[in-house]
Amino acid sequence: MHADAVRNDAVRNDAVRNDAVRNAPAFSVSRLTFRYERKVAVSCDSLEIHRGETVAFTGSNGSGKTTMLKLLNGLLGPYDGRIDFLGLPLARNPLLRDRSVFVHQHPVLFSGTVKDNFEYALRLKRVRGAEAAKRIAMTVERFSIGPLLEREAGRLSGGETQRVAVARAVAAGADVILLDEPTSSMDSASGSAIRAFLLELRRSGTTLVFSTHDASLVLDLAGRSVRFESGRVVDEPSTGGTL
Amino acid sequence: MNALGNAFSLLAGGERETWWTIATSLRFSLWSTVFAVIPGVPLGAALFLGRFKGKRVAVAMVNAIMAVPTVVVGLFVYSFISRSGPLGSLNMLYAPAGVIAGQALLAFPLVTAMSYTGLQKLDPRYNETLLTLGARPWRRMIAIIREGRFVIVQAVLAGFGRVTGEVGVSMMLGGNIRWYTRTMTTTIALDAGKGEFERALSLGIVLLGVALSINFLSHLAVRDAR
Amino acid sequence: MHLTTKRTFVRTAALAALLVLGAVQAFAMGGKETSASDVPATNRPMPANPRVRLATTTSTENSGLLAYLLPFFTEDTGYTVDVVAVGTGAAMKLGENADADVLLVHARALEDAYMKAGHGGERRDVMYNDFIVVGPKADPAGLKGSPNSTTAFSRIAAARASFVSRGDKSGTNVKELDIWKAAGIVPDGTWYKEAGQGMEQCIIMADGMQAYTLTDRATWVAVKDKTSLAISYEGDAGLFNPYGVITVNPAKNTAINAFGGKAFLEWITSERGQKLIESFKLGGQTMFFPNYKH
Repeated sequence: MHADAVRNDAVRNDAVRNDAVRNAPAFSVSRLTFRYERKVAVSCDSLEIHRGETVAFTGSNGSGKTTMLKLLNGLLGPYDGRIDFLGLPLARNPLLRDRSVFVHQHPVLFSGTVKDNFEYALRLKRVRGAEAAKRIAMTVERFSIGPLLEREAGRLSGGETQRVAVARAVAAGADVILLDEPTSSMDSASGSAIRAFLLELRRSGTTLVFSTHDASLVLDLAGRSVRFESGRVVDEPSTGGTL
Repeated sequence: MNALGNAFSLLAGGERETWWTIATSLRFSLWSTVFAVIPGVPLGAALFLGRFKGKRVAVAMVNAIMAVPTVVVGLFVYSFISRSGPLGSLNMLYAPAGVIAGQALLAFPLVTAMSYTGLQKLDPRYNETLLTLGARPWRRMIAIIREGRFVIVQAVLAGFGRVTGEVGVSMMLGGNIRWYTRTMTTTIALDAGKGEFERALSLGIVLLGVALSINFLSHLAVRDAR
Repeated sequence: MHLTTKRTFVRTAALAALLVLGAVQAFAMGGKETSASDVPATNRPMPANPRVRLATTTSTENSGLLAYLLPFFTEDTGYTVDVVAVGTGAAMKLGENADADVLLVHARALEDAYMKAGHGGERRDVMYNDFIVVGPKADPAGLKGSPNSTTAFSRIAAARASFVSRGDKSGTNVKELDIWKAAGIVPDGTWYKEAGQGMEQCIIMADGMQAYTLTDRATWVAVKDKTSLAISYEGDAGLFNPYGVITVNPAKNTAINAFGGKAFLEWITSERGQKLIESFKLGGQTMFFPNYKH
């Protein structure tokens, strides 16, 4: 279970990892403190997010939701305390980039078509050719985004961009998806499309963690909500997972 | 005014040596820009992406080197490519290769610094998206250069502008040899000193045109980046 | 600006740059089409290393002598000469560093020292002309009628008339300093201006400042129409200006084009080279008088 042992023995490494993955929660945070420009931006004594769970981060602007999401995805550091992802420390975690993706509030796509974006994300996972085509076709089918496939990524609307960004993460194989304000500043049609997306992901057992101001999204989607107050995390009891 | 008229007629008349000098200048500048860009742009991108100790020192060093006068760069390269220097056997001094080497060394820190500062204007979400999708450093660098191509174009143009307009390196390493290493700027330096203003002026007009074109292209790049 | 246009912009820019590079490469490689070297010379073998680097004083270049002579040399031998025109002192420094193959210079004492130090291969006399003092037409220091060059210089110093010195260890500069020394004067003060430039530039500067300067006659004749200056003093035997050709000692460095340097030395002192030097005229005057003794 310790990082040193993982580094020292490749065989045991796999055994340890598999064991960890099987039993461990998606995220396990303890005594975390992250400072930005010497001020405490996020502090959290304890937080566990189980695999397959859908968790909403709520709280006012600047309360640390986005920072926490980025910390969980290893995009920010260094920090004090400990974050485990699937039972292994986040730093040098071999599973992090394969299994987890963070999606921005206003995501960016790369130059080229939507299809180019999917192919690029798959290429980063060393998936090419027929296998890549199959994965893209499956993703397109699953989220009904066929009409977008050949469009220039830079010319999509905000809602379309959001959907493509999530689909890109899924196509790349992520089953732990972190989303920052997935339905903010979006018309109701796009909002409900994203909502349908997330429901579909939840049904298939994907771990979803998202920040939001949207109370109805929390009610519809989240099994649990975690409230943030000026950087402090208050782990709230389950809301019961109403559908 | 008469001199200006003569300058234009020198150009319009297609006087061979004048046009040869222009072509040679552009040839040196283009090649040296190529040799400056090949290491400069990736290095600028690496500085932008990298999170390592001493990064600030590295950036400060690049900026400092950028401010070194052309004649100092010329002197430095001279000491290397002189036949009595360590690279003497390559016979680059007073030859096009010497000028190109010196100019490339001149443009390299500028291209690096401009790439670095230019990429900082790029949306930080690109880098985060690449990270979260699991792009390894090398791939991230390529993708960042691709997404930031408009600022990269500006950096390249700035490098080209600097070497086209410089005289110290061309004079010191090229020797201003007729039909061989004579460039627009060395001709101007030479002809103006001799009181022959027509050719100097006509080349000055061309240099002005080059500078204006660079500014225009740079402006296009900024506009298109939005 | 949508993405299709973005792509087009960068690609077009790259393509345009490539095209320009190709064009200038082709044009610059084409070089001079009409030079004598393009005249087919039937019976000459092409030299192994056809580029010879000649480091020389500015006077031979500025007067137009080399532009006149070198096409014939190329035609006769197949060598192309890269002329690096600096002062005599700098030219010898280039030779010392092996950065030149052959020198054409004019400072006899320095030349002898250079040979003695082992930097040279062979030295020969080539030609001579003379130095003159040029200055404002009104001749404010009254140089006209000076009995000799030292007196002429003394009058400049006494009048504190502006004087432009090359200040670059060139042959002319060396000669100038010799004359000041002979006159017992240490040139100093605001009237004495060390330019650090070539001969032609110094004459133009002297014109701008209405100052005196010492020059070789060939450069003066080539430049005089661009100035309002006139000859203030000439004719002293002490103003004799001999030129020598020196091959750089090939033992210094393997990169030296020893054959090329030797070919230049042989050619410029050959009967044909010497005749051509004599036939080079500016304003109907011979500028350099050949004096190699066979």
